[in-house]
Amino acid sequence: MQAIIEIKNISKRFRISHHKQPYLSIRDSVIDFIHQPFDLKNKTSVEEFWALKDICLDVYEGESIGIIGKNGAGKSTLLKILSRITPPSSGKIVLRGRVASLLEVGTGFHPELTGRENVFFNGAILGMKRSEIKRKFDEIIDFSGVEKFIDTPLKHYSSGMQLRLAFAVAAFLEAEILVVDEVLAVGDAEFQKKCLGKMEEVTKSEGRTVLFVSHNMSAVKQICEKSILIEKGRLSFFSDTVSTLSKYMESNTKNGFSGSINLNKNIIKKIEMKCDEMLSDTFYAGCDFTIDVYFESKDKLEFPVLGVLFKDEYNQPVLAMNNKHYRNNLVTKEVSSGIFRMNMPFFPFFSGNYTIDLYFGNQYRDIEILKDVAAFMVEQKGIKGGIEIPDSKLNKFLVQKVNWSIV
Amino acid sequence: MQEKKEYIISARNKFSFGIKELIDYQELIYIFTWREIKVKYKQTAIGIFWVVLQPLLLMGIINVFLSRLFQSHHYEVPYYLYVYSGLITWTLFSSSANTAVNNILTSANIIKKIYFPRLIIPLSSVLASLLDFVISFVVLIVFITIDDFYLLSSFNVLYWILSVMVVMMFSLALGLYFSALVVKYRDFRYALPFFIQLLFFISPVIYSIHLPNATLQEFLFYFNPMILGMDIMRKAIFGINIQWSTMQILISFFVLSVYLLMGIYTFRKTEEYIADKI
Repeated sequence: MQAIIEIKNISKRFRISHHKQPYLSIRDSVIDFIHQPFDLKNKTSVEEFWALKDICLDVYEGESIGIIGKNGAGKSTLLKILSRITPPSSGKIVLRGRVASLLEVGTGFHPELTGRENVFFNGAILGMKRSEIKRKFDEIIDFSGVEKFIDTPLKHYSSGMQLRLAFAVAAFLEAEILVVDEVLAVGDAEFQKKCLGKMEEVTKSEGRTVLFVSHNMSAVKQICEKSILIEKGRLSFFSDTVSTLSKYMESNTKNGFSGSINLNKNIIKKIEMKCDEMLSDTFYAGCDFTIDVYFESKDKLEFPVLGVLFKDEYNQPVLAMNNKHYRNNLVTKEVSSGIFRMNMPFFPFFSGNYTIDLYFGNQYRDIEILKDVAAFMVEQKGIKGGIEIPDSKLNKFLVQKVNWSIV
Repeated sequence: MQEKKEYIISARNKFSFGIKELIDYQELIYIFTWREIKVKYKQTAIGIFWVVLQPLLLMGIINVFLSRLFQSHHYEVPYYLYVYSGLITWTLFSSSANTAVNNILTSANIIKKIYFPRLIIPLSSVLASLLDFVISFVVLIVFITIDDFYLLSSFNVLYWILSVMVVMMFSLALGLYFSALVVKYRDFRYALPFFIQLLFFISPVIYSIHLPNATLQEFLFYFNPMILGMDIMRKAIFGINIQWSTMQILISFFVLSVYLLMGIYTFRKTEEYIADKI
C-alpha cells in the first residue's frame, strides 16, 4: 500500500543573524556597511541552526500519528512544512490527498465582523468551499453553542465563546489529511473534552489521517495509536503511543530517569522517588510516595526547609508543600548534609503527568531552587484501600484523612 | 484504490507566476475582497460616504484655491469635473497600492498559520478599492447630469474599463513590488506613500502636464503609466482626445506589463520564505 504522506529526509535550516531586531531597516544595513565595509567575514555573522534534520516518515491512510517532544524540538516546524507555510531546506514530501492544517483555531478572526461572517472567512481560509460552509453552517453553530450571538460582532464575545466558535469551524473540515497543532491547550476542561471527543470521532470513525502535536499526553494517548518523538530536530523514536510517551518521559529527565537522578548542584546532589518503597517514576493514587533529596552544604544549615511543588501537564502548579506547613516536621538541629525525606503514605493524584520543582532553604529564604527536576506519570488504577475511583473530571486529587460519619 | 492527486513539497521549486493556483483559489480572492470591504467601514457613522466625501472636499479646496493657477489651460470640461475625475482615479491607484502593502503586514498572523497563495492579499486589496471607485464614479455621473447633460453622450464604456485596468495593473505592480520589499525592510512602508505623492505631481490629476521639452514629456509618459490611465479615463468620460500616438501608447502598455511582471516576479520570489521573514 502506498503511503498517504511520505516524508523523505526533510531538513529545515534557519539562519539566525545576530541583529537584535527581527527585521532589518535599511539604516542598519547601511551603518553595518559603513562600519566594516571590507570585513566580509564578519558581515556574515549568521549562525546556522537546524530546526529539523533528516526526518523520514511514512504515514498510511487512516493512521493518526502523535508528534511529541519538548518546546523547540521542531514539532511545529514540521507541521508548518507539511502545511506548506514554509519550505524545507532540503528533502521532499509527497502528499496524496487534500491537507487541512489547523495550527491555530480562529485564524483570521476579525473583531469587527459578526460571528457569521467570521465563520465564512475562517472556513474559507481553512480551505472550505462556500457551498460547503453553507451546507454545514447550522451544524457548526450548533456545535459552538453561540447561535444567540451569531450576528453580533466578535469583539463582544467572551474569549471562551470566540474559542468555541473557532473550534466549531475547524471541527467540520473535510480533508483526507488533518494536521493539528496544540490547539486544545486552551479553553475550559469541559470544552477541551468536547474537542477531544470530536477529534477522536474524526480519526477513528471517519478514518482520516491525522498528525497531531500536543503536550497533553492523555490527549495524544486518546487520539493517536502511534507517535513519533522529536528531539533537537531529529526523529528519535517511532512506535506505539504508549512506548513513545514513556520514552519521552525518560528523556525528559537527563539521565534516563527511573526514579533516581544525580544532579550535583550546589546543595542538592541527588533525588530518588519511590513508589511503595521501590524506585519508580510511575505512581498511582493511594500508593506510598517518597522523595529523598540528598543534600550537602558547605555551611551549616539551621532549620533546613524543603519545598516540593507539583505541576501538571499544562505547567500549572497543583500542589505545593513544605515542612513548615506541618507541625512536628521542623528540623531543629543544625546539619550540613543528609537525606531530606518527604513521605506521603497516601499519594493524592489520580492520573496525568507531573513535574516537580524543588525549593531548598532555611527558615528565612530559599537557597537553591531547581525547576523541573523530575517528571513522573500517574496511572489510573484502583486505589489501595479505596472503594471506587472518583470522577477524574471533578477531582484532581484526593484529600486524605477526612472523617466521614453520620452523627 | 482510486487515483489521488499528488502534491510534492520540496526545497527548490521551479519558478512560476502561480496563475493556475490562483484560479484554484479564486473563491478565496472573492472572500478576502469581501472581508476587506466589510471591515473597512464597520463602526463608522457615515460609512461608505467617506469614499465620496474625501475627493469631494479635496475637489472643493483645489477648485477654490488653485483653479486660477491651472485654468489657463483649456480643459474642454468645467475645471471641477476635470479635478474630480482625476482625484477619484488617483484615489483608486493610491489606496490600492497602499492597502496592498499594509495588508501584507496586518495579515502576518494569517500568513504564519495557513497556506494560501499570498498573491491573494495584494490582489484582493486592489479589488476592494475598486468598489470605492465605482461609488465615487456614480457621484461624478450625477455631477455631469446636473451640469451638462449632453456631456454624457460621449461616455465610452470600453475606454472606461481599459482605463480602470491600466490603473489597477499599475497599482498592483507597485503594491506587489513594495509588499515584497516591506517583508524584509519595514522602511518601505513609509517610502511608499511618499513615492505615491511624488507620482501625483507628475500625473495629470489636477492639471494636464505640458513640459517644454518634448523628449522629457515622452519619457515621463513611458515612466508613469498613470498618465496613460488618466488620459484614457478622460477620453472615456468626457471624450477628451488622447494626445499620444498609437505607437507611444503601445510602448506605454509594454512598460506597464514589464512593471507588473517584475512586481509578480519579486513577490513570488519573496513568497517562498515570507512566513519565516515577516
